[in-house]
Amino acid sequence: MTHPVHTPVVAADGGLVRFALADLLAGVPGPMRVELTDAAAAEPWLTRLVGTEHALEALAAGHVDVPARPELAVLALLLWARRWWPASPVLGVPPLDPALLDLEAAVATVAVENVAEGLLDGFEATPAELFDAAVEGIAATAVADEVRGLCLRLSAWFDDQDDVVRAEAAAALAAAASPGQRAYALAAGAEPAASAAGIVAEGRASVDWARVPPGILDAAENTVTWRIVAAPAAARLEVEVAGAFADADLTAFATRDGEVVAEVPLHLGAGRFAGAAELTGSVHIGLIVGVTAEEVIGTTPADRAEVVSLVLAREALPPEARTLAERAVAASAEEEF
Amino acid sequence: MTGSGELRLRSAVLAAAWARIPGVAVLSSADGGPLTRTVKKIIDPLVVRTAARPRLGRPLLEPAAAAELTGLLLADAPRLRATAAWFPHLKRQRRALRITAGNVQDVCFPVAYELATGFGMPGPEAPETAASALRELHGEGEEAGVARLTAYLADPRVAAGLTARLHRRWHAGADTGLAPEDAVVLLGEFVDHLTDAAWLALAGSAAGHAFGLALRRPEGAGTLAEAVPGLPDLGLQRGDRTAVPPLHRRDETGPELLERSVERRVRATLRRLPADERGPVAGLVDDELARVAAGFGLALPALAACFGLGVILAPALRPLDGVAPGDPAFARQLNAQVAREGYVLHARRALAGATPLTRRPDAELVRELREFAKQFLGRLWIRLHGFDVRGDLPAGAAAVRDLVTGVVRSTSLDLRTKVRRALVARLPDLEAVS
Repeated sequence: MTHPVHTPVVAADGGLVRFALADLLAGVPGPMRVELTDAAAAEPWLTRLVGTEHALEALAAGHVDVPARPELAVLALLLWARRWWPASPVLGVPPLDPALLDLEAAVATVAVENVAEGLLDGFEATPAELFDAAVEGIAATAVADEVRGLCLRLSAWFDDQDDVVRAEAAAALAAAASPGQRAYALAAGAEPAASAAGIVAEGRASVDWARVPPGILDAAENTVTWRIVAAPAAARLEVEVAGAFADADLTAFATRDGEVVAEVPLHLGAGRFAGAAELTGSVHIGLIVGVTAEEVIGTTPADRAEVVSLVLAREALPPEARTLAERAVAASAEEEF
Repeated sequence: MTGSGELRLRSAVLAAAWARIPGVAVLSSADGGPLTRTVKKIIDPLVVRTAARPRLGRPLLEPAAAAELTGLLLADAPRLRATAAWFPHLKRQRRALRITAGNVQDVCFPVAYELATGFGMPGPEAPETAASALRELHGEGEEAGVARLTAYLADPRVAAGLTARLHRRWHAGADTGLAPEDAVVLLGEFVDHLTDAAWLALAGSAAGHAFGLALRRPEGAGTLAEAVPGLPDLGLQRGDRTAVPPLHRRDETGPELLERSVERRVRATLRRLPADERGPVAGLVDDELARVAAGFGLALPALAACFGLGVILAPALRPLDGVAPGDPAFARQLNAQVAREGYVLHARRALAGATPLTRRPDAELVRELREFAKQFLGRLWIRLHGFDVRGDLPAGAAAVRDLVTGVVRSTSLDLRTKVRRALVARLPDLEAVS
């Protein structure tokens, strides 16, 4: 199982550090694999991170398996969640506040810097960039105390780095953090009543997570409905994708024998994407929803079901084993009762 | 043969040498060795100069290399101590100037070393010196050498004389007595075997110059295409034959490598040479005219041969598309090195529109990745031009191989930075597919 959806990684200078998703989501310490892509660039941090013996092994074999460092594991999980968290009101997986994920990832990046200075290659983001991304989105939150604590830690770290501007911004954010709730704009997806007249074919499909950017669509299966409606000139293909969180350039591609035969541009409506286009020829089509119809290393329904079940099982974890964004969701839910 | 028992981890060698240098605590890690950033920003590029001495940059060192590395580090101990003394001054000024760009160590370590080189230990004027160095770094300084160059070339009489000399030289040295096909055969032999013997034969020949000069003849581009099948557009020249490069940058007709202006080439020289090693501007321009006239714009035959080598390897450098069976083994190796990089795996799908990690694919970036070979040659030429200016030569086949490998890596790093910017903060993951 090497699909990225199962493989949280941290990009290091000259290498990759890989974790098993099941370990990270279950909050159990497992192994991590350090893979080298550029041994010379990696050697300075590698030996410090894994010790002489394992460093030699990695240099000889190109990789080495060692017990996971908690700081790296936490960062890997947060970065994974930013890309693949299967938010789905239908499945009972709540959307996570991206600003809280960013904030916690900024702190996790600092923690990795502290245990392995110079390891991160800055590809995934630096504390400064993550903080900048978070700062715009943090508002009233159910976890204000924790946000305050993280901001103060970041402020101290930025100050230590002589980044006075961000040190002040983080301190100001700490002072401003206030309890409250964040509303998510997922419309319930009330399906408009479709007239049955003239429908010559219809079907359902699922969205491959690998085909859409994160934070756009509900992660559940069978959210796509399509129908072909007879019309005087050419038939029309109508497509609807339920469960939209945000806008993106999405298209539904109708295929026959793997060839794209029609493209339906999708537009964001109230909690859903929809669109229609002309379709000629046979009504036996396949349907792909996403940014592109090109070959991707996709996720299968089994991949997605497994990830969803691992994520749902996190409900049972103690709060400290979950991410700040998840605790915020839990805290809001409690307040509602 | 060297048994692996004699090999030492490079960080252990560095740590042992570092422990013998007093007064460098701010550049040191908790375990007493140099910080990873000290290694990457000071020791490797400035003290050891691993770009020129790649065998000292390998992760495992043989005893001789370990001794040489130790020697280089200890020989520079006073300057390293001064570097450590400058760093807190830079930190304080960075705060005062409220600079936020970059990591403080990444940015200030090389500057501290530069100040240590220029001023030794910081004296009473250190705060002001540190502040002006930071201001200059963050874009407020005007390079005096460049200003002198601009003034020199702006004189119309000077410019007319230089242009005439350039044309005379360009048309004079037009025959090396070696047919381009034969030059390509020599280059090919080296690529296939990478032996010191093959390198000596190549470096001593006129192959590089002959290959470069062939591009200046009518049908030059055709000759090149015949000699190196499968050649993509490498951005070497605009037309069928290399045009005489203009004197001024403003007269350039495009970004083509071999048609860059004399001014641009000399500006690169000015950037590369430390102020105290630069001669008068007139002398630098004159040197450059001679260089421009030589095949591939490189005066030393061995360096022109290195560039010819790059041209031969270039068609195989297609990280987005993978390897082709006919490519030379060395080219396949280089290609694999880049193709394995996380960002390429990422970009191959994300940016080529194959996986929607960004909401809008970035066509410009895809183009740059597709044109990897072109970017590689651009960087290789710049590196070789720097060697030419300083009169440096690669020592043997291994050095040439390391040089080319290093250029592939830096091209890759540069693209990675761009890919990263394009992926924005919403897309942090570097997905690894194996």
